[in-house]
Amino acid sequence: MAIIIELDVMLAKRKMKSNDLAKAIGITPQNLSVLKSGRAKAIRFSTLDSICQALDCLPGDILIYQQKDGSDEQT
Amino acid sequence: MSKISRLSQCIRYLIFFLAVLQLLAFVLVATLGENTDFGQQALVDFGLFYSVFNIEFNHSWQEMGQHLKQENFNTTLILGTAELLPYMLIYFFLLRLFSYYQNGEIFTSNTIHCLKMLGKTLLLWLVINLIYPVIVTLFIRLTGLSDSLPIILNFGSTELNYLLIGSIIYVIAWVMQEGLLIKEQQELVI
Repeated sequence: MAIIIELDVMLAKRKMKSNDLAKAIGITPQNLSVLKSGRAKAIRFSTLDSICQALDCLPGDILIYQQKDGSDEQT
Repeated sequence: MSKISRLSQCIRYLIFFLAVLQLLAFVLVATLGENTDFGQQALVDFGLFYSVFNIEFNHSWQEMGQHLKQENFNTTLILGTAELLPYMLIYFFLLRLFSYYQNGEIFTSNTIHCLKMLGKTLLLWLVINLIYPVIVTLFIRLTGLSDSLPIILNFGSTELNYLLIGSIIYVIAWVMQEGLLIKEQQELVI
């Protein structure tokens, strides 16, 4: 997949646990796991907004566009 | 959900009863049956009451059955067996389908598969209905058992019904599969 979700990195930077983030943004830990593992088909703006608010970051900090040759390009 | 489960269980018992009854009737008619105008029938006398089991070919195979009877062939074994097979397949898939419903699986890939197989069985029945008499005649002629058996190719309202009902069931299963796909994709929208 060309879009990579780097939630783990941001969670580590903020020293926050997955369960705490799930609780803070109002989704189940299972759904957060789906998001982190890259199995999600889409992400709602409201969810993205809540994540950015909880982690105090920008969408580009957690969503990375990876080109086919392997080089990263931040959105 | 419990209502669906309970109702599905009742329907399963009913389907099982019908399948056993049909199988029993076939065995009785095949072993004890006598020829009638439209097929064969077996009379079971219990003294106080008696039961009549019969297998009739009163649709597109009627003419084929009459010709086979004239040539002294066992119509029940030749035509009845071919007719029994799709029935048993339909009972099998219906039993599986209602078993899934009983266990609470309504819109799942298993139930969709069963519905698709039901549709395919009806379409297979159409093909059997069309070509089986021809195959039987060709086989009898080629083996030299009879020379006067005509080749009969039928296409009537019975075949149209199989085509229509089979197609409708298959399309419904297809639509359900698309719905399931949408549901699965929706579950992956976070």
